Amino acid sequence: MFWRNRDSARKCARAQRMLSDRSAGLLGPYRERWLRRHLAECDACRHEEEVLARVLMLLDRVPPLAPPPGLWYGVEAKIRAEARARAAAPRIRWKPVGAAAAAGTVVLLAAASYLLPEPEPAVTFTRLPPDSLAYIETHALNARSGPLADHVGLISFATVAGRQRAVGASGW
Amino acid sequence: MAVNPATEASDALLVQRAQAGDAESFRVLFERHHRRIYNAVYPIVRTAADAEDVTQDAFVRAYRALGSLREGQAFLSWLYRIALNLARNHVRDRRASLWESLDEQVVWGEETLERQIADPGPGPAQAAEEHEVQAVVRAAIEELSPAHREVVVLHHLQGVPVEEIARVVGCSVGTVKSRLARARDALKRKLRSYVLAEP
Ligand SMILES: [Zn+2]
Repeated sequence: MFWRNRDSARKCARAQRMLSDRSAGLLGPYRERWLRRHLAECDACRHEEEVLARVLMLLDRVPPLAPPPGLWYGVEAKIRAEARARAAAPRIRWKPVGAAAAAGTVVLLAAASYLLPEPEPAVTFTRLPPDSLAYIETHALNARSGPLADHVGLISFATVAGRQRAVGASGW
Repeated sequence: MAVNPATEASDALLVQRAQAGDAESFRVLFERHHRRIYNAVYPIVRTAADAEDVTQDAFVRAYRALGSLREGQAFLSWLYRIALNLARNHVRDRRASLWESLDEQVVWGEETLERQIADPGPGPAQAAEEHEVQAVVRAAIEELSPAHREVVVLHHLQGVPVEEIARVVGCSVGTVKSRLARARDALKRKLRSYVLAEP
């Protein structure tokens, strides 16, 4: 009796694992036949099949979340800030001496155009509308209280937004 | 009704234009995909504020790396990969931080529910029941291991086919199916009393 119970418990555990495998398209024809035979004679596993089906239906009832409006303006502000930082970075200027150096520079530039990665696309975004300025400022204020907040980043965003607000319609 | 040609264009065409410096095309790509990215990272980072940050960072990274996107490579899969990596790193950094406090761990709760898309269809009682179901399911998903959670979110909540998930996560289709099967086992264990109590 004990052995028979243990054997059937093992079969049921196997069948119940197969139910999930089948739902994910992992069951080959041999295991599929075995499972069908087991389900035909086992009430407990048929019940598990029903539970799994209901759980999967439950997953279908979860709709996507709506992200807050204005996320784009944060992306735009970050891209602009990066473009500005790149533009403000000091550049090394070479003073070629003589024709040889000039020719060398030409050769180097030609080689660089092949070897270096393509430049990033130029940032030509439109001006931020007023609601985005409010969004950035509010977000910066709210996020400031977080212990892990990027304070430098938040201050830069708030500053950029504030400056643009001050400039008003006159543009960047 | 006037149709904006930019919003009708394929991802590939928009990527091409954005690579050539057309910021408006990149904005259209953002409008088209940011909800998916937000929903993919939310269960990983667990708070709305972090999901917003990671979504924004993913697009900034994508913009920066547009030049490395090969012709014919699907933009959305590539973007998912960037976003999921950022979300995983975000969680790792947060865990590593000494400042982390227990009360920071916001689970799928009221904050999430307030953000649900308003559905004027059912009456208040039915809507409350739907909210409860969603909160229970999201909480169960959140308890899954990171690898299982990823495939469940992408497949069940976003409808991404397993072949596409394999490309995004960087493993075989068989591995994705196997993770999906084990994740469903785990969800069945977590949600069984709930579904059995339902009429
Ligand atoms: Zn059985």
